[in-house]
Amino acid sequence: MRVRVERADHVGPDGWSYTPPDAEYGYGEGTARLILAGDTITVRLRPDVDESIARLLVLGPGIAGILSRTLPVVHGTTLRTPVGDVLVVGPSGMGKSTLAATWVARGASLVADDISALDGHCVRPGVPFLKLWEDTARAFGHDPASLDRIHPDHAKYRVRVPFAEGPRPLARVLLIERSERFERVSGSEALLHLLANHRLPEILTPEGNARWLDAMSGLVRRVPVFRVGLPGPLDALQAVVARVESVS
Amino acid sequence: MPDRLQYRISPAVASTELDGEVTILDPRSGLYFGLEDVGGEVWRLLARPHTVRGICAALMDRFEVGPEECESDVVELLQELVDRGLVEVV
Repeated sequence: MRVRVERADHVGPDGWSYTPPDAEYGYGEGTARLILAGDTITVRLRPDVDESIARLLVLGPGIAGILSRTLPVVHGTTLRTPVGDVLVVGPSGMGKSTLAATWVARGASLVADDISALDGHCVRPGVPFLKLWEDTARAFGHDPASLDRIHPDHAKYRVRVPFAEGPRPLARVLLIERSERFERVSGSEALLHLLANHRLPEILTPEGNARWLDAMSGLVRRVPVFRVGLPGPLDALQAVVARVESVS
Repeated sequence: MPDRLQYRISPAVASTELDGEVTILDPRSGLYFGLEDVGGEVWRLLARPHTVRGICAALMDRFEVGPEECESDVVELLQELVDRGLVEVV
């Protein structure tokens, strides 16, 4: 795998375009473009764009796109907890990273943030960083001045956290949402929720999508799945974590 | 819908089965669907090309349904699946 960053005056429109297994992703109103072709990830940036955007694109859609070619990938964060590895699935902005930070503060370690690739019964370990908003980073004792900012326009930072050693089988799946809910859900309902968090169905080949569906239906057969509403305040998240650790 | 037409699942579409329910993903649109009971059985049959009559023959073996009701229900379902691009005429 090679990663290349280049500069160009015009980088094309936003959004995905694809010829599986190759794909391109335009970002930031025509200011940046991610190109996945063969075993090379290229980021093309307009001359005025901060280079941190390249890292954001490579570590997000770049890695997700490359992993998706061979492994089923979901939009989710995986943690190693006292009850085993827990996959937390949900759309952006729902609180996956804040829940992860809460869990890490209680002794959990990180397996993968935001991009979870299933390798057999396990999630393949990613990189040892969470992306946290400034307030959340402060609440967990980090000084934003000493952290890398992940985007020049947003107060979001890369925070190094304890990292899990080696892969282990998943033990729980949490489908997070904005509600007061906490309930175990059936296989087919769980599968539909996972489908909503399939990262990149468009860039997969038909065989890749069939593999994805088979892997997820195997997962929801093996592992208890819960719909979990996340409360806003940080101290209330502690109660959610405690509840997940106590329920079987 | 002439009876000689054969239908099958579109090659781009992925599906799986869980607890007797069929879950279908159309990667081109990112949309997904569920089919239960008779609908699920029709989907299983469409893994290989089938005519409306062929589908109904198989369904009438398994479910208590008359030929006319079966045909109108199957035609309606096939039309919806074809409109959504999930099923194609061979």
